[in-house]
Amino acid sequence: MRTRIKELRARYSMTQEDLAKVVGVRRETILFIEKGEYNPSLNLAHAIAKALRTTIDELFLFGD
Amino acid sequence: MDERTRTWVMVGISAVVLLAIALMIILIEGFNLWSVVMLVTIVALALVALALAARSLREMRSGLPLQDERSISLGMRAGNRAFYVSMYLILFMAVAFVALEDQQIAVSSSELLFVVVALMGSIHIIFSTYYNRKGRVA
Repeated sequence: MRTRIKELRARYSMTQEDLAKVVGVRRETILFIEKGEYNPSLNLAHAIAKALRTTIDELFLFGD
Repeated sequence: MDERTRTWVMVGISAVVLLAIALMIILIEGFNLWSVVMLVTIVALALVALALAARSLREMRSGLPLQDERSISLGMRAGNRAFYVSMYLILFMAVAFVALEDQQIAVSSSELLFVVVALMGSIHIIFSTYYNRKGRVA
């Protein structure tokens, strides 16, 4: 799974820490989600998508 | 109780318990090699705990939460692994003691208990660090 978190963060000039604060998680969690190494819960995925003003299916890209 | 107060209460309780254990060791064992080994182990574990608490407090001050869904599942997985590894170690030690019964190894139950508890704590820290660096928890 790939994500567009980094790209959208850059668009809104947000750091990983800023995004972590907005969605209420630790910075490492954002780091590992961004790298595709951690699969977030549906609630967290929704919160991240909302913070980055997009939708879950546009944020998380699956290879199928 | 908010997260900040809870963290300070945990740090306080840990400090009191560790201090009590250190005093008991000195009072019961006196100053010998074994009591020094136990004290050094306790101080080392306390320093690791303090470093982790300091890091958590720093993050909390910057507005980040102490725990989230990943850190909760990480802690549960590390605890689970530490429990099973400790159980196998205790089992191994029990078998070893039965097998070496004739050798008359002089280890008291308090020393053995200390080794087991120190091992459990250390194994938990090792697993937590490993999973924290790994990203994928499950």
